[in-house]
Amino acid sequence: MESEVELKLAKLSHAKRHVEILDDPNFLYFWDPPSLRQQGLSYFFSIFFGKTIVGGCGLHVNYRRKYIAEIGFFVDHDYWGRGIATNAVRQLEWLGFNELELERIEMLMDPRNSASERVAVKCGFQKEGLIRNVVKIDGNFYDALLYAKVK
Amino acid sequence: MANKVELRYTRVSDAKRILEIMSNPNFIYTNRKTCTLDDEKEKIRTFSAKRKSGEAFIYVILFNGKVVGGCDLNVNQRTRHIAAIGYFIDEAYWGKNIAARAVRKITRIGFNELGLKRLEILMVPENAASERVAVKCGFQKEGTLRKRVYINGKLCDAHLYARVK
Repeated sequence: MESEVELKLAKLSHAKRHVEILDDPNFLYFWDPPSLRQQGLSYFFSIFFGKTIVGGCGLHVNYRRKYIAEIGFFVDHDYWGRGIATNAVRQLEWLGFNELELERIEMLMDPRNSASERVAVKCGFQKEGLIRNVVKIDGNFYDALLYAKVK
Repeated sequence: MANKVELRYTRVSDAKRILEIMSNPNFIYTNRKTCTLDDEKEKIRTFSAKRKSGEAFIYVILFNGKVVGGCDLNVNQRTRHIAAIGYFIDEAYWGKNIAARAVRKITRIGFNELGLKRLEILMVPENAASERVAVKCGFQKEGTLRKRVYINGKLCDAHLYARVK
């Protein structure tokens, strides 16, 4: 099954499917306001499971510290529980540490988002703390757990 | 009136004094490349543009009117409600609570004038003096971040302290 998960650079033609997946009301704790993506080097991928787009993920390099990047991801609710996100994160990690020569990769998630946290733990990320007021959505500020993995 | 601590925007004419303070070999916990007086002046000339764009607010610390250090707020350009605070004090003025007083002032500027929601201070775990300043100013430790900062070409862990509004 592992080999069926493939990352392809996101294309405009994937947009419809991304929106379809994210419109699912089960995405309670997913943050992706465009304002968070404006700075820095970003690599966006669609997650393919076989021939189907089942999610998206990305690596965002810190604009001031090019040795640090943050990983983000989402997977279609219908495909949860199959290790797809874990597989995608491992691929991003490989890209980050080996191709982009990163030293540190971070993952932030809503403290209630235990699914995301499980992905982080499975991929060998370690919890470093609860970061207060770090995420802004629609004028409100939220805390997030910080997980990181270092080379 | 005695022992007054003030902040004012750094001017090109502060360059010589800043270099004098920072050339002290005891500043082992700050990442700073050695630079000439001209480099320092050139750097200070960029500060007003950074202020206007809201990217950074960089001050000198005055102790009874004399420049004894520096203090700055760097606004995160990706998440603009967050800024990082940095500071340094001339070794001859250590132990006089000057950094803490400066940080309290810059904290007020960040929260009240700039409307920020989160201020961070990072320091290497060995820098106990800096950690004391953060604690005194009401910052709370959120964690130790691995391989987070470069100090003299070496990647080091850093404590993350923060205060939120």
